Amino acid sequence: MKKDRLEVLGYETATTGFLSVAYKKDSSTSEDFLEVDQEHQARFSLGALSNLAKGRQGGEDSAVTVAIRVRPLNSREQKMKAKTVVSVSGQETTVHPPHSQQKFSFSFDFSFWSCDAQDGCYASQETVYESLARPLLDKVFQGYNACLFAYGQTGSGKSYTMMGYNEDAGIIPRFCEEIFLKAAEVKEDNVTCHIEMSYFEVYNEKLHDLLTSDKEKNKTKKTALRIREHPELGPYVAGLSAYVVGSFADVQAWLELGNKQRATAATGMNDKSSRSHSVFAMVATQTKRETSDGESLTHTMRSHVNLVDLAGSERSSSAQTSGMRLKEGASINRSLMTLGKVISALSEATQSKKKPFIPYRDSLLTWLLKESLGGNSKTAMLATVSPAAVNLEETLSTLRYAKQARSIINVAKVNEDSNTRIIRELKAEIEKLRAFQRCSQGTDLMKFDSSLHEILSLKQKLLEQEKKLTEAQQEWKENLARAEQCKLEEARELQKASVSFKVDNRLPNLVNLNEDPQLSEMLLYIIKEGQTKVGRHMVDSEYGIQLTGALIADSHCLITNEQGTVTLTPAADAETYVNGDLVSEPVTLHHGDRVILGRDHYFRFNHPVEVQNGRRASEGPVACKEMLQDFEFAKNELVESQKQRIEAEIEEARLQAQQEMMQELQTARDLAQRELSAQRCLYEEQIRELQREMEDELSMKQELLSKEMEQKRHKHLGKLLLTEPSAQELEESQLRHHRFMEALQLEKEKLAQEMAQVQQARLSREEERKSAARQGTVP
Amino acid sequence: MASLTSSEWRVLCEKYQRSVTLSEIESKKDPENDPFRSKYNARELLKQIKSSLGQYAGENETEQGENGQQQAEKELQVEQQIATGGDSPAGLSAARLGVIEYQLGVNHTETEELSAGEEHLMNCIRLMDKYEVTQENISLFIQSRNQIGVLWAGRGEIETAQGFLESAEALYNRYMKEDGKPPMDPNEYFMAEEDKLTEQDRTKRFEKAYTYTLYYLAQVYKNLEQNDKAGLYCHTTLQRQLEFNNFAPLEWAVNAATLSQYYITKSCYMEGRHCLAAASVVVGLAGEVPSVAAAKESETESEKREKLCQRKAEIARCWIKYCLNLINDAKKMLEDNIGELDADRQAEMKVRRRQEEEEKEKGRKTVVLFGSSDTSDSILSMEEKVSCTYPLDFNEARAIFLVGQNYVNEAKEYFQIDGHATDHIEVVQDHSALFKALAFFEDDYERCCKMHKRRIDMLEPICKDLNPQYYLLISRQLQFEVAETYYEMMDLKIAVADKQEELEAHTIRKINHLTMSSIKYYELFLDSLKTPDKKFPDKLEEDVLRPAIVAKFRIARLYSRIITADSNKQIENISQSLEYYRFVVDYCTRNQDAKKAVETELELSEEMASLLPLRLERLRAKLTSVN
Repeated sequence: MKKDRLEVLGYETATTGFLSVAYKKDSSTSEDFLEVDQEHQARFSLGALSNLAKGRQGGEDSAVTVAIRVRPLNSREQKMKAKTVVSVSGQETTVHPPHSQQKFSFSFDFSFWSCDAQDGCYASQETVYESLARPLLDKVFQGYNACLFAYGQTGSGKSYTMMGYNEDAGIIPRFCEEIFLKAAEVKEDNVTCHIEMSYFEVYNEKLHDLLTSDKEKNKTKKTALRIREHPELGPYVAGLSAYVVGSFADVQAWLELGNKQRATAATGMNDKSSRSHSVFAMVATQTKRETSDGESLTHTMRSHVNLVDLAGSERSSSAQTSGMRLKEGASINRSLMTLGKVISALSEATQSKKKPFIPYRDSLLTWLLKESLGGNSKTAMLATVSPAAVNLEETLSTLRYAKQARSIINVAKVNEDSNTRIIRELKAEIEKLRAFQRCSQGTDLMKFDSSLHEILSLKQKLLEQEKKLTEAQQEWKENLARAEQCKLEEARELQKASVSFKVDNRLPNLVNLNEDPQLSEMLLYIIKEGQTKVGRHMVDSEYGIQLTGALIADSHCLITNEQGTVTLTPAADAETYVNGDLVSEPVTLHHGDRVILGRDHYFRFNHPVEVQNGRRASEGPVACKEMLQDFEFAKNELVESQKQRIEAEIEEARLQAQQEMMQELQTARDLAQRELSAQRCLYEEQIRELQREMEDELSMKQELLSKEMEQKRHKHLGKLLLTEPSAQELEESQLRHHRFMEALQLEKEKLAQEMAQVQQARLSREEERKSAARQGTVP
Repeated sequence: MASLTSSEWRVLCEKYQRSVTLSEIESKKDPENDPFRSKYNARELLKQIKSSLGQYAGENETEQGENGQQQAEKELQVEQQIATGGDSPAGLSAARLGVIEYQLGVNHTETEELSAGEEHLMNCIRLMDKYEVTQENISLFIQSRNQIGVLWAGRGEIETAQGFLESAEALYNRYMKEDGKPPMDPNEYFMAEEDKLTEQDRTKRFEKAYTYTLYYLAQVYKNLEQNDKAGLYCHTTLQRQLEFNNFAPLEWAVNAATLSQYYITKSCYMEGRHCLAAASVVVGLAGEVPSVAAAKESETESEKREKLCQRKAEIARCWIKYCLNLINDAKKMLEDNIGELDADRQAEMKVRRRQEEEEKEKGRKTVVLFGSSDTSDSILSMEEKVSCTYPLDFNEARAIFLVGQNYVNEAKEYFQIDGHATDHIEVVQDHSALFKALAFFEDDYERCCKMHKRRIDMLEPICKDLNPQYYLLISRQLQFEVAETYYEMMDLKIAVADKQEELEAHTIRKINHLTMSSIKYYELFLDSLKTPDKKFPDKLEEDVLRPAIVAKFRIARLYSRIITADSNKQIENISQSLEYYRFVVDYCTRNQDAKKAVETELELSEEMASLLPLRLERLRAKLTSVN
């Protein structure tokens, strides 16, 4: 009677829910379930592994390989004509519950179908070994740790897969056999391989050596061994025997002994064997001897191999199960003794980034294997399932578990500090380097070097300027057009002062320049054929151009236009400047010339005919300034020639010039480039001249050319870097203009053959650079 | 209705008591190869009682055996018939049968026959539902629901379980509100009048049953991912264990400490501290730690010592996490976008704290407080030893730091490096993290630097001694942290040097030494990623991808920060730097999916890789011209 109940109990646990009800109705067949009884009941603690780490994704190169193997129907199931509910196709394993349209599909690295030996897809012991275990063996010889778990319901073919029988040898014997073959192979490369093995089981969270001889037979309980961790020697089981094995035969002998021990211990114990994990552990030490320079060097590599036959996966709902923490398990722990587990699970479940300390000890096995489950190790997991309908629930739960198996890998993440500070520093440095790159190159004191850079930077700027020049020209044309549309209402008022509105395109003219850019170029004075008198504004004056102001003489000057040639003749005592120079004798005006009358009347002279005809090469330098024929330039020029230098005013003028340039850049970017080619010739000519001068001076043409090439490359680079618009960019562009102004200055002076001034400017720039360099870490 | 004679009744009572003894006491001694022997014997007795009761139960004479389910259904049809008082004769006889059904249900579930167990438990519930709740039967109402709840949860039907358990909770609350007298225990139905329990015992048993209800609900909510609720129910379960003196001090203390970790992850420091203070007080109730000498004498003493020391050390570790997270959370609130103390935030927080203090007091009253007559005061005084509010300046942070540091020392006494390598290192890592957190609040660069030096002193020796073959992941963490700490020190030294007029030679040497040390540890970390044949992998694993790229990036930066007047060395350093920036760029070109992990680093590396060649060239040109 009692025995019968035990069988019933066995059945009850192997199934759940509706299946057990079905059994109830057919209780007379309880004899049939004797077999089930023998293979029921197991402890399951792989679940604990899932707590080691979560969320690791698998992939081609993943450290975990997961496989499923479906066993054949056993004799009892065949007798019962049990229905097969599992099918396999490629990597996919599908479960079809009976009386249901629903299907459950799972994809794994391998899905082994070992149901029917006649089937073409049949996966033999060898197939399983080769697909799953051999890759691990290869890794062992590369120095990795390797770990293989077999997981599944008792009776689902776990032990068969791991150990096998006789000629149907399983993974463990095959693995051992090959490890020695491989060891013999590597011997030829002067590598000696030394293998130690241990065999133990974990039952009820106690670890027992399976290879100790029964010296302590009198002892009723075997002493449980403790796992300890040594910083140098790693985790170890204190007191666990480890034997050096030299051949496969050695291993076999030890395995036999171990399995015997296991069987003996299990006798009389309720399903102890299926409730315990057995671990077959090997340490492979490879020592490579090398002789280099007569010295003998040895290089040692040690790999750990753990082949683990886990306890049966069934009865995962059993509360007594030690170390069980299956994530998907919904069962309730009955005893308040397990409150700790519940709280631990709760503390671990939070989504917080914080890492709390959970005093709960992982299961012994988990703890022992934690390092071989992460880092430099390769892990394979084989889940075995039964195809029979009667095992449906358990099969599904095994498959679901295996699906999560990748998450068992131990990922102790490296946490880094925030990089924000470094990022900030680097950004600053990049800015500095960029600025450095843009400004004239080199902080060198050597004359050669600096001169060289002078040329290079000039050339670079020339290119930049060409573009702006085109834009400036366009700007000027636009201004002309704008002037044409000037308001007619103001015309009458101004006509009195001979200010023209109707612009005759062919006639030369003077256009006003004003400090306020909005007032600049608003007044147009046409210089008609013949004479135009310029003088103080007075009622009824006959003067063509009437001006006001203290410094305007009654009769200030005379402008004559003879067939397009415009000549300015200043009156005595009337301050008149052309291009910054005080004139006392008649001068011929050219397009773009600045005319300043009495210090506060600024004009720019335009000569449309001259523009249309194009200019001769010799007029180049003049044309160069054309773009800057604005008030600031003119004023600057004036100050420049009058006084040697008034620093503040220059600065102001420059700043405003920069603003102007920005506007020009924005408005006239993609318009006509007609003048460009002529300009380029002009400039290149000029540069060539400069180069020649330099070459002559320094007789170092060769180096010059090579650096020039390099420079072109960087120039290109520099331009690319300029394309990002930002607040900083704006500052940069001001800086650029600033440099540009300086370059122009330099150029002009050069043309005037004033080398002394060139050097002076350079020295002042070097000062600047030095101070820039001092600010940062750039040496 | 036939009635039992008093002698017959006495026999039944004896049988019942025997079954209880078998099930609860003798079953523990059952041999492993027959684990349920006593349970089966108890079941037999219960069945006998049930059939006796059936014989005398008048119209309930129909068989109550295996057909219980049909029987129960029949009963269901007549359910509306009456809601008789539970203390009526019919109520009494139903309750007696209910108790037996309940015991049978428990017996079947305990022997893993769930379906049968469900039947019996449902029989009990259906029987009882026809009667009003009374002082006699309330306990049976609750206990039967507890059992059926557990059963359904075991089948994964969490919502069903939740329904039964929540109804048990509601029944308890209603009873306590409306009646509240210590109720009868179900076992008392089969007890002679003179054996009946005292009120005190009744209360104890009844409250215990309800404690289980709450505990099971905690698990139900956990499974339903209602973590806040689960936390509260765990907390209440712990409190009830303490209140009704139903706990083992060691386990209780560790559980409370573990619960504190849950609160810490949710930044509930007041609750966390309360749990920890209670843990520290209750662990003291577990008795004295046996001396080393005593442990040597006997194995039980040795085991007791081991266990006590371990648990105490674990509680200490929970305290460390408390202190560390409290300072770090404060740091996060106070730091500006480059990780430095934001004085405005600091001032603002101080003002806000003053305003919030009153509300905090109110909040405290809503927390479930641990305590029994002999522990409440000690818990309170334990709590006072450390603040639970965010530290806002150095002094406040330092007070918390010191508490944490004490626990570090306590934990290290048990978790020694030899034997507990991983635990020991984790404690040291926390210690280092405490220093790092404190350094944030220190505005004196020199003193800050000294704190980081302490970190180096504790981390570097371990890092050197640890065998990466067995502790690869923790080794990597250490290498990275040491590298970062050297970096931090170098930064600080430079900041200090910047304030001085001139750089002294030994300062430069010091800075360069720190720079090189940082590089060295980043390189060690990168070496650990290499394959056994010493090659850097073409494709990095996801978990090390970012750290590896960041290490390369930082080395690049470090090389450009070496101070030297020697142009050749300068060129060499910049070339190295360039090489590392290029590595980052090249790696991301080869592995496009790496880009999103290191976006900013990549962007900067790209720029540096394009700008540095120019700088190198200039340096070279300068060098040639000098020569």
